[in-house]
This record gives sequence, C-alpha cells and structure tokens, in this order.
Amino acid sequence: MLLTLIVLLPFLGSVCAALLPANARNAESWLSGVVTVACMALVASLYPQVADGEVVRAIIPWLPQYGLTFYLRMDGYAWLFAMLVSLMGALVVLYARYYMSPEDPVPRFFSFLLAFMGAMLGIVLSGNLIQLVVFWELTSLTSFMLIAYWYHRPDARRGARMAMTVTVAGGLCLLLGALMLGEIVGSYDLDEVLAAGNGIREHPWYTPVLVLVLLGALTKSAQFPFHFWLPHAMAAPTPVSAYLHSAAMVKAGVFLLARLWPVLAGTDEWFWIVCSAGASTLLLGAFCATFQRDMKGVLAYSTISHLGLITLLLGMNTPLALVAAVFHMMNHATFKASLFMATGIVDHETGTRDLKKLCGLRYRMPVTATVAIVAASAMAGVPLLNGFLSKEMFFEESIIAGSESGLRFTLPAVATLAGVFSVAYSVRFIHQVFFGPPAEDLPRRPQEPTRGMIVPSALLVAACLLVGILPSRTVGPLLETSMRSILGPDLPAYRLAVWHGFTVPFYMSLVALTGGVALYVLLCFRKKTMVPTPLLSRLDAKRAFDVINVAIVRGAGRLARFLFSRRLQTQLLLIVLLALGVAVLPFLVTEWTRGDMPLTPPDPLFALLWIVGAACAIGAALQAKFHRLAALIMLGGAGLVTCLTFAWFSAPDLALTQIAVEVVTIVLFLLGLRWLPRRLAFDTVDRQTLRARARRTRDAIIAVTSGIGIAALSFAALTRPRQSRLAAFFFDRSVEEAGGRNVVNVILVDFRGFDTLGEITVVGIVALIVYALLRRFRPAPESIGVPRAQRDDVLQGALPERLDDPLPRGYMKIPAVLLALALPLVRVCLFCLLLPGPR
Amino acid sequence: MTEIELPLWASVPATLLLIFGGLLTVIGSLGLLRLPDFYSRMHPPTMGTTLGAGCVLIASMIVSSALMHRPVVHELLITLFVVMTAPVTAMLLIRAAIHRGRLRNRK
Amino acid sequence: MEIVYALAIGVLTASGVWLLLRPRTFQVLMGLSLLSYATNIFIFGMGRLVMYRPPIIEEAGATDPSLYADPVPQALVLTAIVIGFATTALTLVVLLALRGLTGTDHVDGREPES
Repeated sequence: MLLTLIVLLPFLGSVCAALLPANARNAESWLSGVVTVACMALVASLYPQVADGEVVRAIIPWLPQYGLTFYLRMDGYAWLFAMLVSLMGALVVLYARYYMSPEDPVPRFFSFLLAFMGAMLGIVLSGNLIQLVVFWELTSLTSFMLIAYWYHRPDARRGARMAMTVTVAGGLCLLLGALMLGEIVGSYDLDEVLAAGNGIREHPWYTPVLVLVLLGALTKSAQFPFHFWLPHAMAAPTPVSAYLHSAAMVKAGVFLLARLWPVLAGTDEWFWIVCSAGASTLLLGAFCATFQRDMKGVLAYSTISHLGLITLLLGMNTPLALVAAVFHMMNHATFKASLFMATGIVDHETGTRDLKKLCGLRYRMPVTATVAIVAASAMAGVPLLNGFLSKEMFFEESIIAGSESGLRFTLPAVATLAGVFSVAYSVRFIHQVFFGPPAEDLPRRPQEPTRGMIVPSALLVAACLLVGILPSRTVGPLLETSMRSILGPDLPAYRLAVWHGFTVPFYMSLVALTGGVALYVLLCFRKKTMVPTPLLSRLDAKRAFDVINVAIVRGAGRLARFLFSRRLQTQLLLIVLLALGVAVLPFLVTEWTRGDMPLTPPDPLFALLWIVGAACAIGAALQAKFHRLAALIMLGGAGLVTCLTFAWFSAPDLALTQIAVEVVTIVLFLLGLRWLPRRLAFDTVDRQTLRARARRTRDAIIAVTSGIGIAALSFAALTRPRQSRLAAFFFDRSVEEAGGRNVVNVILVDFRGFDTLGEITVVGIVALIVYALLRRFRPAPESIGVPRAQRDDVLQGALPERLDDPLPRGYMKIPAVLLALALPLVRVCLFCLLLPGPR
Repeated sequence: MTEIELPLWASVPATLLLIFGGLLTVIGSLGLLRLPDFYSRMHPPTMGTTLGAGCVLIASMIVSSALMHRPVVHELLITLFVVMTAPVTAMLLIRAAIHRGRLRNRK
Repeated sequence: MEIVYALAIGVLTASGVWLLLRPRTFQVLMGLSLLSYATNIFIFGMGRLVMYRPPIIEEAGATDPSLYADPVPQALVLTAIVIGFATTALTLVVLLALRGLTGTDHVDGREPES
C-alpha cells in the first residue's frame, strides 16, 4: 500500500495546490515540500526490502475479468529512480519557493509540478506496460503546462507546443510498441515481459517493436534527430528546467531503455540504431553547446549530449556499459540540476542569461560561483567528482565495444572528441560568467541570493563531491541493488574507484581535459565565430520541424479543398449521391426481387389520400421558391396525410405526436417567413441560363432516381414477412414488468427510458441554442420595419374614421377576444390530457 | 375490423347526418372552386366548417354513445374550437385581401 | 396497399431531395421536412402494414405478438419525429440568423457570382 501512496500523494497534493489562493506562496511551498519529502521518506523506508532483492508490489484490481489491474512494482532500479525523482522534487520545490516572483500565480506552478512528479513516479513504478504509457503521456501533458507556464510569452508557447508535439507523437509510437510487445508476450505485465526476452528477440515483430519503442524513448530523451525540442523548452521557469529537463522527464526515455534492456538489447539492430542515435546526439549536443549564447542554451545542449552519452552506453550491449549508463544518469542529474539552479540564480540576480553580457560575477557572488564551478567541473569530468567516474567508465566501455564491433578507433575517438567539447563548454560557461572584470551594464546589480536558493544547489554539489571521492561507500550499494534487479544474479564484476591506474581511459580523460581547455583558448582568440554555431546554424532541426508543420497544415488544407466544398449544395449533393451509391451496392451482388408475401387488398381511399399527399409534396417542391406560403400549406397537407397514414396502420401514438409536431412546425415556419427576403417570380425568371438549366435537370434526375430507388426498396421490404424477435420480448414483459398496456409508450418511458432522456436532452439543447441565437438575433434591415399590411393599419388609424373604409377600426379585437376566450380552455384540455400520464 | 352491430336507432340518424354533412362540405368546396371573386369565395367553405362539421360531430356523438352505452359528448369540445377558430382565420384572410385590394387601387 | 405506400415514400423522397439541392435556405428547410416524413414512414413501414391492431395489450397474460402491429418501429419513429422537430426548429432559427447576419437567404451566406 505504501507504493500506491507514493504515486497517489503527489496527485492529491496537486489537487490541493490548485485550490489554494493565487498569492499563497508559502502555503504552496510548504504543501509541496511536505508532499515531496513524504514521498522521499516513503521511498527510503522501502530500501531495506528492496536491498534484499525483493520486489515490492501493489496490485489494485480494476477490471480483473479483462486483465486490467493497477499494478505498481518496485525493484532496485525503480527504487533508485523513485528516489532520484522525489529527492530532486524536494530540492526543486525549495528552490522554486525563492525563485518564483510574488506576481507569478504559484498554485498553477506547484500543482503541475506535483502532478508531473506523480506521473514520473508512475512511470518508474508501473508494473504494466499500458499503465506505463499512460503515465508517460501524462508527463508530456504536465510538462507542456509547465513549459508554457509563462503563457504570455510567445517563445514559451512555441516551445511548449513543440515539446508536446514531439513527445506525444513519440508516446503514441511507444503505445503501439507496448501493444505489440503485449501481443507477443501475451501479457502486459512487466514481470512477464521481462522474463520473455528471448521470445521477443526471435519474434518476427522484433524490429518494428524495437523501432516503435525507440521512437518513444528517443523523442522523450531528446535524441538526434528529435533533440530540437529541448533547447526550446528552456523557455520554462528555471526550476522546471532543473527538474524536468535534467533530472526527471528527459531521463524517462533512457530509463525505459534500461528497463527494457534485458528484453530488447543484445541484437545487432539494437546496437546500430541505439548507438548511432546516441553517438550522433553526443557529438552534436556537445558541439552546439560550445557555441550557445544563452546560459540555459549551453545547459540544454549539454543535456542533449549527456543523454546521447547514456544512450550510446545503453546501445553497447554489455552489462558493464549498462552499469555505466545508470551511474551516469544519476551523476548527470545531480550536477546538471545544480547547474540549472545556479543559472537560475544568476538570471534571478542579474536579470540576464546572456554569456556576452555576464562577466566577473565571482566578486559579487562568491558562493554561487564556487557551487557552479564544482558542478561544471563534474560535468567536464574532472577527477574527484562524480562525472569523472562515469566518464571514465564510458571511455573504457567505448574501447571494449569498439573492439567488439569493428569500430576499433571510431568509437573511442568519438568519445574523446565529445569529451573535448564537453570540457570546452564547461570551461566557457564558468569562465565567461564568473571570471574576468566585473560586468557593468547588467539589468540588475548582482548580489548573493537568499540561502533558500543556494542550499539545494549546494547540496547537490556536495553529493557530486561525496560520490566522486568515496564512490563505493556512498552510491556503490545503491547501484549494485539496482543493477541486480535489471541483470539478475549474473552481475559482472565492476569496481567503483577514483584511481584505476594509468590506463587508456585515464589518458583519454587527460586528452579531453587538455584538449577542451586548448579548444576554449583557441575559440577565445576567434571570438567572431562564437555565435552562431558554425556549420550547423543552417541545419536547424527546429526549422525543419516548422517546415514540416507548415507543410502538413497546407497539405491538409489542399486535401480539404480537393475533397470538400465550402458550398452546401455540393456537400448535400455528395451526401445524397453517396447514400444512393451505398444503397445500390448490394444490388451489384444480388438482384432486386419482390418478397413473396401476399399484398394486402388495396383500399381506394388510401390511394386517394396519397394522391393528395403526393400532390402536396410535389407542389411544395415546386412552389417553395416563389410562393412560400403556398408551399408551406402544402407541406402541412403532406404532413397531415403522413399523420393519417400512421393512424391508418395502427399507430395512434404516432399520429397524435405527428399532428402536434406538425402544427407547431407550421406555426414556427409562419413566424419565420416574415424575416425572409421577398422573392418574386419575375425577378429572376429570365436569368435561366443554360448552366442553371443543366443543374436543375441533374438535380431532378437525382431526385427522381432516389425516389424510385427508395420506393423499390420499401416495396421489397414490405412484401417480405416481418421478423421481429424484439416485439415478442416487449409484448411478453410490458404488462408484468412495466405495468403498461400500450407497448409503444412502455418502450419509450420504461424499457428505453434512457433513450428518451437523451431525446429530451437533445430537445433541451436545441432550445438553448435557439434561445442563444435569437437573443443576439439581428434581422435583415429591410424586414425590421412593421409589415406593410400593419403599416397601412397604423396609417389608417391616424385618420378620422370614414364610412367607406373597407374595415372598421380595431377589427383585430374580435380575433383577440376569441383567442383570449379559447386559450384558457385549451390549457384546461391540455392539463386533462397530461394528468393520466402514459398508460 | 371486428363487426359490431349498431342499434337501428343510432345507425339511421348517424347515416343521414353523415350524408348531409358530407354533401354540405362538397357543395362548399365546389363553391370555393367556382365562385368568381375572393369575397364571395370566402362564404361557401363556412358551410362545411359550421353545419357540415356539426353534422359529422353529432353523428360521431350518436355512434360512440351507442357503442359505449353511455352519453359521450367529447365532440362538443371540438365543435367549440371549430366555432371559435373559424372566424379568426376568416377575418385574417379578409384583412389580407382588403390589403391587397388597397395596394392594387393605389397603383 | 404496399404499392401505394412505397410510391408515397418515393414521391416524398424525390420532392425532399429535389428541395434539398436547391440554393435557398427555405427550400432546403422544406426539403428536410419532406425527407423526414419520408424517412419516418419508411421506418414505420419496416413494421409492415398492419391495420386495426395497435400495439395495446387487451388482456394480461401470454400475448401473441403477431396479433398486433410491431411496436419497435413505432417507438423509433416516435423518437424520430420529436428529434426531427427539434432539428427543423434549429435549422429554421439558424437560417433566420444567417439571413440576419449575411443579408441573403442563399445557403452559402452569399449570392453566387454568376
């Protein structure tokens, strides 16, 4: 149950946070702090069980008959990540308390932050693939809201949209991949999926599954060619960047890869796809980071590059590389989050993040400078810091994997080159911001921030140092538990130590460090090339994204124009033609036959009735253009004949309803007639062009065809025996179960009562729409005035009464009096009809 | 339809009334068709709506009373409504006609 | 009887479709009404033509459904009539609003160029 609480608590906190008032900054922070720390404590309390190799499970059945359960499981690896997420969450909350300005609406921020944390914990602890994908998409959604937190800024909106498009599209691919995995294994249960590794790797679906899952993971972790969203997501508030874009969300992709490592890894496809994505991202990110102007831009590209490093390690197909990858995930989270926080402090205190403007801040902000320098050194891989350890492992693995796959020199060279760039941008980041002469033209006068902002960053840096100096005492056991949970008992021997001796990896580190510094010095001399990024500034993936976006929108528009007309007539024509076509389809296979039921004897009266009805219908069709009133009367005639037909064939209820509706409809039409424009026959009669005639002929042909078709269809149906099992059901039960003898009424109000409720709802909605439309009703100018007949009355009223007037004054009083007499009577009658109810 | 014997005292007057009412209505309709101008055409249909409808309604009252073995007078309501609404429509129609005539004169 | 019934549906449908394809809103509205009559009696006809036997149970106990008209199409049509009325009323109001806003009663909200 503790597990459920871990996932549930942040969501509860999120709801509470959303309900607090907008200016309750302290209350929000306390609430979020308590939630995150509680999560952390809960996770920590489970460590003894997890360390024993046990898997903690929580299963809540939801629809067990369909195999749907809410299933959480925590093994060593999940524990490590849950700890990372909740610990970072707590630090970020503390930091955000001081970072957010009093004007920002904090409830939204903390609410989404906590929701994000819950979703992230959900991913980490999910024991079911589908559930994992649901939480996965939830992180995309919450991150969208967080990136767009300052939604008044266009870059925030753009960045959020881009991140959302890319990650959600990846999530959909992942969903497909998860579904296929589930199909292969026969269960979505993570335990069973993890146990079925060989079966999956040999399955013919392996390659598509791999590609789909990788699409999901690589988009989330901002891997080339999907890396472009991450720098644009930097429009988010810095705590969000520190949390989502260094520690949590972008790690979800590599988390998943490591989670499914025992299942998917170990093949050539895996090696080539994952390694090439990882290596290209590693190089590209490191290269671009060296030339960014924005502090957060440097960090964003460096994050991309480090994620590429992790991906590359994961792709190497050796257990040791996996260990290094997981280790580097942890290390990267600590130093990168700390650097983001430092950037936030600089931004907060000076008002800018521009590397060109910032200079010499170490004089005014010595503590921040120290913290940032240590964190950046960890990023560069300086010895005695945690980054050095994992980088060393990376160099070693690159040599091993390189020699195994025939890339003997390429892989180590790529690794060292990336190391060179990583050192260069770290040095540049620190040197430009904190060294040199104190900057003069800053928007704000810098000073040391409040303790609340420094502490989280400093704590993380302390962790970097501790891990860097005493790896086997601090992080060693945790790493071992988590690795054991992925790899099982056959954990390879590895040694976390600061000093391995003068090995090749050590020389590679040395080359990277010196090369990086040298590169930076070289670049300093050629300052002009710093911005924009050389070579790659034209190859902007964001531009490609935009171009594709625009192309899709344009293509959709073109397609819509091709398939679709703005004109109603064309649309209706297509609908009618389609209906005709569908109706004709079955007769391509069989031929039309009449049924073999004997005809009921013809009744001349009924035929007469429908001669009138048909005449009315045709008359209405012909007169509707110029003689609206006549057409309306004839429509009423047709309706009346329909009503009589219902009565004729034993449907009294229908006849009653039809006549009531008929009357109301006609009255409504009459009311509406007044607002339509005058149209006289001679206005347009000579405009009968050839085209118009052709169109009318076409429509006439279509109309007659549909008429003949439906007549034939109904004749064929009417002459076949009735097969209704439903009727028997209703007849059997209507008296006993519903207590009504009128079966139609019983069906409507009892058996299918909800349908009737829906129907009433429809009528209610229509009434609302009608109300809304009429409230803003603007009649056409020429029909605003009093109708002409009434105008004459008014004119006449102004004159003295004369004997030769055709009508006496006030003649309308007679109908008024009559109606005043009749209406109460009508009301009484209606009430009498209402009282008995449906029987 | 189930055949039900109507007593003679009911069937004879009902038949007569129905025939009479139908005749009146037919004559009224013929008049509507044949008479020369609007104002005179207004008159014949009233035969159908008043006496014609009345005859049919009385016949209906007789028949249903005979069938149910008790006096049935629901048709009175229908009579009332017909009597009340017919003049209203007639007046509105006449008003429209006068208006038209006035327009024509003005031209 | 069936022939007359089928022809009636045909005539109503033909008039309705013809009006539906006309360019003026009022015509389209009339077309919709006529078409809904046609549809209603078509659906109603699927219960076959049964005279003098409305689906009202005379006495309780086991009843033979073949003695009565089919209640299911009737219930469907009853719903359809009411919904049809609602949509007709809605269309009427929409066309009035359209006429008020655009000044024309052409279905596209503007007079055709030619």
